[in-house]
Amino acid sequence: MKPLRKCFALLLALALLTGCASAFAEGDVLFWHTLEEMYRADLGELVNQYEHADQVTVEYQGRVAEILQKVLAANVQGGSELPSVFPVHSSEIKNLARDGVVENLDPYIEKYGTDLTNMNMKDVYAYEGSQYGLTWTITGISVFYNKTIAEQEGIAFPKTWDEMDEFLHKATKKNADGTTARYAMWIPGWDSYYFTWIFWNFGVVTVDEEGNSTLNSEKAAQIVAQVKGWIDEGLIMWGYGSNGSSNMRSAFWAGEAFAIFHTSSQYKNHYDNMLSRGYEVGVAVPPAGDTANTTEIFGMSLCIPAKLDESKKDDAYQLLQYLCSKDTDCAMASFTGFLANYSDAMETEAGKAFLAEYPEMANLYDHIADMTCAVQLPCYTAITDVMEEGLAQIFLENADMQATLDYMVDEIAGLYEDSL
Amino acid sequence: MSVGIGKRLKARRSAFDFLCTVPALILFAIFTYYPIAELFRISLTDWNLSRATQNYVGLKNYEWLFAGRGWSQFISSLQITGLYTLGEVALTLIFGLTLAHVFDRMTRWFNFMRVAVIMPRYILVSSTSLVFMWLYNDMYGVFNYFLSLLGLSPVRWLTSRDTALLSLILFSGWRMGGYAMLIYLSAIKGISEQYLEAAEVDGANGWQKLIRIKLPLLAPTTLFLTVTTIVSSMKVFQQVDILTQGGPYKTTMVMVYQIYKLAFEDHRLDRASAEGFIFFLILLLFTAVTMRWSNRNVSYDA
Amino acid sequence: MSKKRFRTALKTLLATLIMLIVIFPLYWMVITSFKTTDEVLLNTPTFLPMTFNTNAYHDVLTHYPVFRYLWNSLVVTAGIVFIQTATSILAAYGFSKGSFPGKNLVFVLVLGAMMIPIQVTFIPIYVLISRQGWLNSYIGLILPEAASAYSIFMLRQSFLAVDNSYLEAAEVDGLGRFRSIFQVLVPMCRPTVVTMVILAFINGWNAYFWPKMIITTDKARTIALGIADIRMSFLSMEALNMNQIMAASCIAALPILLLFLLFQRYILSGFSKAAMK
Repeated sequence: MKPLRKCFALLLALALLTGCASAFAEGDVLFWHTLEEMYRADLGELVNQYEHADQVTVEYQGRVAEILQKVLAANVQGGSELPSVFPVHSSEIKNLARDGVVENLDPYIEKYGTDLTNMNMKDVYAYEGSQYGLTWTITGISVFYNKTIAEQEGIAFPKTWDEMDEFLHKATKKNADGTTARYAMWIPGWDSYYFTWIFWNFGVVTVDEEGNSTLNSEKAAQIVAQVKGWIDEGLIMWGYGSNGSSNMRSAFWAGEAFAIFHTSSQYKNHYDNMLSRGYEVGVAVPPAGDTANTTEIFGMSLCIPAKLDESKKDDAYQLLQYLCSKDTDCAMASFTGFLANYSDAMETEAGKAFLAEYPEMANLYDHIADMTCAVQLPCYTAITDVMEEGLAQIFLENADMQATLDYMVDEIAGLYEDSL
Repeated sequence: MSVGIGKRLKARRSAFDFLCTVPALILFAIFTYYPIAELFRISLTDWNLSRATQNYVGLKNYEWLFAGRGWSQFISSLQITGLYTLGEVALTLIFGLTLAHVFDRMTRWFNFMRVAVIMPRYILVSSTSLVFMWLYNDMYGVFNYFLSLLGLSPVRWLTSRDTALLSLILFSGWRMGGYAMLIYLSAIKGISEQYLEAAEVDGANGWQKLIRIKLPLLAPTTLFLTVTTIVSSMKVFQQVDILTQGGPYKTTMVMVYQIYKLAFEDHRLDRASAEGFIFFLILLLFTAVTMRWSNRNVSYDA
Repeated sequence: MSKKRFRTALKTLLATLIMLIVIFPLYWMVITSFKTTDEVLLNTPTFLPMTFNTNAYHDVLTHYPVFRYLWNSLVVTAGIVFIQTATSILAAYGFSKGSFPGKNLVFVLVLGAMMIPIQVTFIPIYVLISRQGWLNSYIGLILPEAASAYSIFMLRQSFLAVDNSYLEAAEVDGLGRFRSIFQVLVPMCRPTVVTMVILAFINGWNAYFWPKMIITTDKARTIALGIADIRMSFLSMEALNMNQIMAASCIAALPILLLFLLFQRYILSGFSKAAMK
């Protein structure tokens, strides 16, 4: 019985000692971000160069949707657990501005004389003429391919869809038993932005502002059937589900995937890891279709919660301004692969140095004007879920193609109506 | 006179007895019963997490749930929860009974092995789920490696719609099997040797003994395990959150996870409350039915 | 005789084999934590690490406040265990040995609470707790999980089996009712009480759903949540960092192992009896 009594005493003492109700004090300026573990050191460095770095607490808080959830949750409490600065996805900001979740930044922009000229995507973060967020990161869907293998075997990444078939056959390597040793292309089917280009380049509308979609059109069906054929032949890998992203990276680095689709923000990660395995990374834009040569682009702005304590907002804005400034722009670009926030960033000294070190990234910067933002709808996440699940069912589970595409279009329209 | 004192004493005693239950009752009132009422109230509003205002909208959320777009997902979540519960109960009982017959010797080595077998239940579910995520991995998972040694093709454990729920159930069975074993073991020990010896005299073999004598006598134990496992599997959340997040294709979207998603991912507290309230009613109905059924059908003589 | 011995040996072998299968995932957790990243990603997994490498432990401990998570879990679990034990013993007494009008009706209300998990009622509780300003606080983590209908039920069953004469004798000895609960009733039902405490501890330690709702800062994170969040922070790089995730898991398992060593006897025997009564 003795250990039990001792444990009890210990537990009681513990409970009393800590007073049960201890709240947790925070640094003055709390910055929540979405940059995963591998960027921890560089981001920490960047914040350290900020003149009031000692006041700043940096915390990783999961994906951008989770951050939003936590901010909204803290709002219920009245704002005491809110961060000072947090990122908002380009597809969410207008709803949040309308509902009064994020602070109107106009007074601060004027007060601190922030220069917004040449800031990319800034209109996306404006609502009814006011600025609610400043552009923090921009990322475009790009192709990374194994340049070393490409040069050894004379493979060129296709510029147009017509060249796809030949490329896929050339870049794929098969085992003796017919299984694939090296996929020519690995498309992450778990996030819609990795594959919207397939449709957009052929004029297929995934979803527009009125909830309409032409995903079940003849053209769409034709492309999907074509992709399905390549997948069944073992030329393309359609990634999906838990561990999908992890597995794609590993396959690419091991030389088991020739080309992968990823956000440009992952460039540095691939660059470093491929280098350590003796490979060079090539960067390209997705192949053009018959109507366009685009790819999806999106980003995050930094915002201040409207319910944040008034006395904290000035400090918050100064950090926000620093993080979105030209000074940090190229630094962020070079340790991640995020596209520069200012259209003239690549003409500055730092920008030229960046392109000199990573010449492949020029292929992306040449195409920035062609990249497209998805529409902003309050139910957009649910709609992308429908697209991701539908295509995966067709490609991986052999679901009936036309029926599934029809179902997707109905679902999208329904979700749109439901959100009104 | 003395009767009056006796009465007063009795009143004081019952006041004391009642006071003893008060701390617990207060906690239940605040954290169980008040929330149920509040849940119903919120379900009649249009409360969205991103807006501060709540307006009464009557039964609109129930209309959405029963006659609108909420219905198909609701029914499918209910089915998945039912399947999951069924699977976990079956695996727990089967594993428990089997292990109890394998680990029933009273030597030191067996004692040690019993400790090892119940370990899974005591390690953090976060940790064990992540271990299973790693074991289930398509490319690096040990399970697929074992399959390849046997010359079988790899299984997409967590990413195929046919196997995802099964993989979750397998994980839960692994976690709970040892615990069920313990409970069965002590119940088997309680079975009088006389019954079994009498059966042996009658020439019953091992199987017959198990089916004719042990199983009926173990019925209360089985019922206890069934009810407690059902209670815990109806509210399963953690392993779903870590292993599949309700995917692939919502095939592991159990009720609780669906409600959580509505509330915190879609920010629709109103709809989540309506769905939560209905789920509460289902649980209530289920409890009432189980209690009636078990009172009638299980003998507690053993 | 030799046939019987052969059967015994066969059974031991079979049992050992099954045990190895059951604990394999735990073994995998431990050895993965000692592997290097390159070894983690080998196409042919190694069943013994090539070298016992402790880098993963070093990395995970320098980048994440794992001990802070453990401490938070310990405090929260202690709070839950303490409040739950105290309220459950008292309530179980009231519902078993006590008598007051409406006892059975009130007891049905308690039983009903067993079927209403926080996973269903979390929205109002969430609003309640956050309006109190208790997000990210110990008290916000403890209170909603402090009362357990199951504990009350279990203890009540056990108290019912105690003969009333013991309590009456204590009264004759001049022991107050309150003291006789803790000095007569509780010691007599020791295995059940210990079992209840262990169960409360395990549930508190494992709590995930509720902490996930109300915790937003690293300083308040409990270990169950912390481990899941460490994995999330690697996002899609989790396979490469499996050794760190497993290292954190191994550290988190240590307190539980300690609990096991201390209470093995109760966990193995008392448990089942208590649960069945």
